[in-house]
Amino acid sequence: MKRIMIVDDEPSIRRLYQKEFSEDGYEVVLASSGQEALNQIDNEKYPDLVILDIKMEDKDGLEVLDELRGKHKGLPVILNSAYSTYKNDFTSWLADAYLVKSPDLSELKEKVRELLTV
Amino acid sequence: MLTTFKNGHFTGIQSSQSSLKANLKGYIVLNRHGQFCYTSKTIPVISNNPEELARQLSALRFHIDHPEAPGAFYKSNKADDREAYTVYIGPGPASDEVLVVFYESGLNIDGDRIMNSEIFILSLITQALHAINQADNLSDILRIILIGVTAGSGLGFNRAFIFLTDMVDNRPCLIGVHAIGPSSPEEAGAIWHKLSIGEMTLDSMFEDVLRHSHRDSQSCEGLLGGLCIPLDNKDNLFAQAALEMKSMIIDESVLNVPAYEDLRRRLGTGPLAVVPLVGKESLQGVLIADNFITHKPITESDLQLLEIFARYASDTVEKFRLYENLERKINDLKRANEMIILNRENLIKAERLSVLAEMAGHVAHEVRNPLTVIGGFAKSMLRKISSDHDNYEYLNIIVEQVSRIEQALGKFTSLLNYQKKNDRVCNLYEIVKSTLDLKAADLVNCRFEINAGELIQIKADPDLLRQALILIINKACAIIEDKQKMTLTIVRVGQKAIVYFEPGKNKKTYAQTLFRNFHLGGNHEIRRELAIALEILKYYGGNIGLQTDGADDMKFYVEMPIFEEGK
Repeated sequence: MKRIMIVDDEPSIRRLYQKEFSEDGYEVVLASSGQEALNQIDNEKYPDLVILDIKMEDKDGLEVLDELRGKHKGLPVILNSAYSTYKNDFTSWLADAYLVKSPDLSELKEKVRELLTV
Repeated sequence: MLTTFKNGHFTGIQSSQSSLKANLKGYIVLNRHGQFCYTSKTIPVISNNPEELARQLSALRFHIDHPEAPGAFYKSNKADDREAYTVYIGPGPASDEVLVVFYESGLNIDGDRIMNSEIFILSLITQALHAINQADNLSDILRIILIGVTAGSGLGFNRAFIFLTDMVDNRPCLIGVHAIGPSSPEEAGAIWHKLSIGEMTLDSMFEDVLRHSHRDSQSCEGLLGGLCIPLDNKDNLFAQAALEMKSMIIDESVLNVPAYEDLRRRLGTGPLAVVPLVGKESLQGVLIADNFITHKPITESDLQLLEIFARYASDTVEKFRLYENLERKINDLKRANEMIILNRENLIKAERLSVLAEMAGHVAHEVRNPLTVIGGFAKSMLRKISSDHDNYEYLNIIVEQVSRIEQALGKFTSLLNYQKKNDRVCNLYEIVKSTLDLKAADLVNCRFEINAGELIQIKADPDLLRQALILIINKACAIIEDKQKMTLTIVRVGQKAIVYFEPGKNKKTYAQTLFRNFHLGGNHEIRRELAIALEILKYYGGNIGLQTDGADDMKFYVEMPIFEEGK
């Protein structure tokens, strides 16, 4: 079973994604902050893919992404933000995909499938 | 001066000078072929035949060709064995005849004119000043002065030129600005004819200038085009006349040296009267006059009259130039003020754009997150209930409405949707320059310099592009070492216009830092601002980048697609 890590400081978003991806047959690991996500990954809860929010309190998603690229080069990361302007931030280009949050999760699910198949 | 005839015979010249009649030695009337028509009972020995007369009186040929030309006094050329005479040559009793009157050689015609010159010059100055007072620009004032110098009822020179002081390549110079006078004897003849039949008077000529219908006055204006006499050339007689503020008659032989070749080629040969135009405060220029057509010698008394007239004219010229200068400065200030207002508006727009983007970001975050949750769960529930369930319709409505809000949010959060775009073809250099002007007050820690060669045009909303550049320049300044020079070089590379940002030193480190700031900047605010700049650039097909030229050379750049007509 593929393990997906959801990193978002919004509990409702975490809950929604957990429900949706669990129902699709993935093991879902949750992190409520960037630092928590990094700690979990370092402590062997190594996911197959990370869905990463950007705007978070302690450490933003772009900083987490930068660290992940340094330590875990091959780990697929999807940036999933309510902001569209971060698309122009060069760091966001380091991610495998950038998707703006939407109630319609079909695009996100498709991207997850695509990245995990590769 | 009025010549009177009775039954075709010369009876006298009416003049305030009583000595004229007393010293009269005889007269001759010549026809258009130069042949004698009438002679007085006794005539001086030099005038036995027309050929001899023409040799002695070089101005006679001109008067025969132009019998309508106003009369003037001349001195005959003194032959070895013959006496020199003072001669009056002017219109004869018939329209195609010329009258030659001989006087004793001792007659001091010039002295007489000087005696009466105070009234004459006062009258001329009064008329000219009256016209000048009605003029509303310097050009008209200069033309009125020139008319006063050349009109037969004025000082009577054939041509006159005005040179004004100005700076050319940081050198003080005399620049030829206005000229008046006929360019040929034929043109002179036509003008003098009009004068002789009363069609043109001094007042009517001044009126013409004021009505901007200058007639017969621009013929020799072209001679002055680009004529410039450096005032620091101390050997130049015109510069000397100006700087030493002294009037002089410059003989043609003095001008016959290579240094005056340009002047000779333009104005022709002949003696010139040169009078400085000196205002109360400073030197304004020089007034030059000559008798190019009639070759009448310029006397000291001519020069003195010209000098008196120039003295009054100079004050007016100075006042008007000061006024024009003041007016120009006021206009410059007005323009600068308008630029400040415009720049302030642009700066406000750029800041507003940044604030709007920040607000849009917050809205996106605060609305999109709950929207995702509501819509996401509604969809999830919808998938799990059958279509005949009581809540199916309501969940469907929630999903639909959430979708509508999401679409509206998409438009709202796209920053460029706020902007009313006014795209047009513009000069990239002008946009970069005006952006720097806009930021000038804030750019205290570095000096910007722009290098631009060819004209590079792009198509964009100039205000929007300036706003993007402001955000980039803000960052470019924030990381530059204190008091450094920053060169912005605008070049064309293929179909792209590139603006390179290069500091005076540590180019590579600087370029890397600036570039890194775009994607690894310290905080959200900085990155968002740079993201806005990039969004604008990308909207117009532009971008930013880092160019490596060898191991130690690296440049940060902004690029935009070049606009080319028809492509």
